[in-house]
Amino acid sequence: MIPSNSTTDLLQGYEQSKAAFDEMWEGPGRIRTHWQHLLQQIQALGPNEMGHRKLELQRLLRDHGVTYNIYGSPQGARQLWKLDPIPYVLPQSTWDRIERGLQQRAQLLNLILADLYGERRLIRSGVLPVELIYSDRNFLRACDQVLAGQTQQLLLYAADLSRGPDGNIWVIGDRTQAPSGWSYTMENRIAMARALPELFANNHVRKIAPFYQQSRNALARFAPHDNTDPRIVMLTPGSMNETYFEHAYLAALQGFVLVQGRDLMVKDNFVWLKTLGGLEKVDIIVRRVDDSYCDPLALRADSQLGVAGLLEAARAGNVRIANPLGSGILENPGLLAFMPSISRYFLSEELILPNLASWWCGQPRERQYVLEHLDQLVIKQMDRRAGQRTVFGWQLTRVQREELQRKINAFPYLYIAQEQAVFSSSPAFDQQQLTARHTVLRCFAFAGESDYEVLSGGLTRSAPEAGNKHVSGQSGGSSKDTWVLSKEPVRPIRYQATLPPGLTQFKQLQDLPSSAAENLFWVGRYGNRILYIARLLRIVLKYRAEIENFDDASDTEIYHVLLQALTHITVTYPGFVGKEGQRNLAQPEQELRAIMLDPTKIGGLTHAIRMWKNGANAIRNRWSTDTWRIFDQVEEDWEHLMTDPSTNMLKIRSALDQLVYNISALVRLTHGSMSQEEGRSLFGIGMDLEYSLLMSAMLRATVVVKREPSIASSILEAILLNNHSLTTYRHRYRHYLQLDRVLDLILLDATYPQSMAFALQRLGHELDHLPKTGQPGKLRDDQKLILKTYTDLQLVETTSLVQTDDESVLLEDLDALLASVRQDLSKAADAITHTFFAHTGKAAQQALLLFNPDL
Amino acid sequence: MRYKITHTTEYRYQYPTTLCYNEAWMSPRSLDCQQVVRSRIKLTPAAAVLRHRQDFFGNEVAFFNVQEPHKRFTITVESEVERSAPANAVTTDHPAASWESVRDQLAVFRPDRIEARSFTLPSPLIRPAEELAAYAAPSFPAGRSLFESVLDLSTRIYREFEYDPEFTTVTTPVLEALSARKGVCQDYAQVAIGCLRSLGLPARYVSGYIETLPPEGEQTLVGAAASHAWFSAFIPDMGWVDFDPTNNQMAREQHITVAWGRDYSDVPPLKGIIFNGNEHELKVAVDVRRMEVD
Repeated sequence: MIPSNSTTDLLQGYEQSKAAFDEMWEGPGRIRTHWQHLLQQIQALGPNEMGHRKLELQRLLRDHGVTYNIYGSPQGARQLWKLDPIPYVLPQSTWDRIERGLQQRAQLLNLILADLYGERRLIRSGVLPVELIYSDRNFLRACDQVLAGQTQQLLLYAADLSRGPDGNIWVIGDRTQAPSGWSYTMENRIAMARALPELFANNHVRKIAPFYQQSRNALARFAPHDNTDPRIVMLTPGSMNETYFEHAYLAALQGFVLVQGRDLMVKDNFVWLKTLGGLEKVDIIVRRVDDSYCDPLALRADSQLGVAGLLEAARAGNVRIANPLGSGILENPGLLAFMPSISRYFLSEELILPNLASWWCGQPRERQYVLEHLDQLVIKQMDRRAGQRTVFGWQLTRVQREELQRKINAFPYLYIAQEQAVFSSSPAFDQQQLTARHTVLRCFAFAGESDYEVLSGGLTRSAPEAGNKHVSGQSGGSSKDTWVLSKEPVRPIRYQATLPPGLTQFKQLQDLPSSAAENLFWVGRYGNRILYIARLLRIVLKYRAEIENFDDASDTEIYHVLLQALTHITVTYPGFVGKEGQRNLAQPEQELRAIMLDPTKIGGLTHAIRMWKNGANAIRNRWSTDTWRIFDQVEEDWEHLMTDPSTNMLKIRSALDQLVYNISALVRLTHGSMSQEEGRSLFGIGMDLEYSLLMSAMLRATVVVKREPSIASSILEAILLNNHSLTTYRHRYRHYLQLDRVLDLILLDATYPQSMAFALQRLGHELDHLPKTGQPGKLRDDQKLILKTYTDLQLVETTSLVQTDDESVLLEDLDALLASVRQDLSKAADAITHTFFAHTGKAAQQALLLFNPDL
Repeated sequence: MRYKITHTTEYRYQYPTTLCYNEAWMSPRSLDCQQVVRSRIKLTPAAAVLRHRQDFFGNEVAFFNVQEPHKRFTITVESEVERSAPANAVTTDHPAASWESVRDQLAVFRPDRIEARSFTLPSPLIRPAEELAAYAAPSFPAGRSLFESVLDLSTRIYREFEYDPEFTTVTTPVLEALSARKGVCQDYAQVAIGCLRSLGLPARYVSGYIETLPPEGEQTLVGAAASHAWFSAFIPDMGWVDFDPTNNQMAREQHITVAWGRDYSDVPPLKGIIFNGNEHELKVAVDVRRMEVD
């Protein structure tokens, strides 16, 4: 049935690359039963087609914006997520054991957690040595008795598993603080189902999607005070975090409000979300912030990521935190050594899944063993930050080894040794072939009604190349979809490529955190600023090219006026303005390039693009997949332009065209796809406000000075072009360009969508829809200011604006009007910020009390 | 002896602050030698939330949260305490067991020794170090009893250290105070604790007060007018014994124990987070007076 040459092609060299135990390869010519069907399907597709599908997977992940931040990476933080087209496959029999083993382990860890912050029977009865727990910085004494009496404490759980040479599955580590990987697991499955649907056929792959909804419902059951409709927030450290993508994605998928510490506050011993409309009570916090950073009062005082008073609110039972603060103690590596005896103590059971052999040096026999086998062991030191505390014994020089032995003898209880984890290998598709890679599997569970529920699958990661035993997200390997094969057929479900629409929406505007609203406002403002600057630059570069070809005095004058307008609009003084600007005007190249490409030039185009993207990234969960693709594209294109040594004016002009096109598309998409509740109004307010500000600056920089008619006319043409209004003007007036008519059209005509009057009118409506915070029946300051500006424009007579005595070079009335418009709009922007985005400010630590300062 | 203790802390801010969160370890604990007759905390402006609990070490902690705008915040704790000298500070009968034998005994698991053992471990501000062990060495010759050794250590710190409030702050590392031989009561106590732990012996940090105005003719002790601190060593058959190296004596009836922990960071009299943080001034006053009891 399958041409034998394709088999040999795909599997050529496979055996050499495999580990002691391979997930697929049982022996020469023998493929494990659960792999046979899948392998045939892969072979049927053939190496070329598999190659195409692999590219398709990468495209899907990129389009979905699936990223992973690598700390200290030179290319900037964001890295694309990698997914191998070959899944990691487990048959039902193996899976059943894993599932039972993880349920047992989660139960045990839950009991340990409740005990260590409660009665501490494990310590009092000698099952756990006091030194092991009390010298671990993750044992947080402030969390003592916080959940006293609660039997269910550990709500979320993840474990890393590997398979040894004998085929047994081992637990190599527990993740209990803020287990990550849930979103990547889901994205992997969505991408696989899209790119390789054939592989799923007849393989009975268990579904994973229901897990996510079920886990949300299960969490909701833990809401305090039996609240049946709890508000759940996901607390993230922010967009620089390693797995920020995951936080944004999970929040959107599960209907959690994505928040940072500054979005929350504790008042009356409850936790509140600061929203546009005021404070909203929070019932459950799913946190991705590490234990000690969650409350600067009770825990680390230097943390800016947490909420002061959070622990006390939890102690009062007014908020539930998943996982509870203090659960990091369960990640103590020495605990592994005691799990078998703890299991006997609490459950009178043996561990279903063994864990990595571990030796705590606080015990004399164990210490002796460790000292004698140092070169074969992985040594971990407690009381050190994660990452600093792992030493690989075989990498030590003799001197280093003796030094370590001395330290272990001095403070033995601080050291734990573990055997090196061994990994089985699993096929990966690389260079038209299947090759074996070491793999590790992360599994996930949540506390369900009667037992822990385990996700039927997980996140498999594999080493970057054959033989490499380093498997972690940070080491550049790839990930895999994880298949649990059911004996029974599984009813197919369709995975949606993007989020189901209902899930990204919020019950009401009330749920929009103030900081998210502020980001939307600024993304709107920066979006329009980029558009405006980019359009103006296109015209500037057009003149520049013309002058280069034919040195014309009036063209040069127009060019200079436009360059000065550019300085005014970007607020990059002196730039081309005033006495100091004279030199730049004579030699504009350097300044012009800086405005376009220098990221350190505040106000310049590159700076604006970065600010815009940062703002968007901070509210990653608010954008649809399609919108996000444009954000990424714009950033990618522009960063490329900046760093490409071959960038010349021609390339810049074409990049500007692309930029204008992309951002215009994004604005249309956003207006179409974002609901009012999600803050479309804030986005719109930002855009309209910025537009009006820019236009007043542009007009002031260009038309308030009287000029010779032919030059004035060319400048008007540039303004209309920049305003997307040249065609309309010509259509409406069928006349040469005249200032009063131009002003009528783009400044005063409230029926014309590109005019400032129109933008202000819409802005007024948008502001009316924001939650009222002023006195009933009265306008807020921001509303007043916009109404005033709009009314000023409505009442003005165009003829008076362009009238002037012959002496003056300035159109004084017009200048005064534009100046006052600009001032009022700036005040309105401040008023909006003050009314809606003002947070309670940065927390400061009170001075700790000093002893006896006067002695 | 009956004492009335008034501990007043006042913050003045340049601009009004709207929110503050605090935890205070200012109410004395009840002990065999110390009965707390009453202790109450007064806050101006009043706190929206005021909760009391016992912490991990059994100390009384108050949590409070002010939610109204204020430019001045006053925290006053008034306590009445009946204090007598602890029995183990009065006795002249000291166990002869050598300090090494105590150290070795503790390594063997005994349910009633778990707490003592836990105080041999490193803590946030005090980590065992060779320098500390070396400083302690002259007080711990082979075979000397633990009590005599600790007493000698406490006396040496008193003699060899200079009391200098300008030199240290609450976050000065123990090793820095040790190498300069300078500091305040907190540093004296933490150096002693570091020494004991570096030898594998248990020691804990005690925060409290000492009598401010002794009757005429009696000695005025250093550490008055503010919080005081000393250390406690675990001596089998005596229990926890309090030594005050700042005053070269054992804690007796003029010492009032508020709280204990591994080091200062477990029991600061007051800690807090304020919002709209701005410049502030801090004033602290402690008054400890004998009361006439009929």
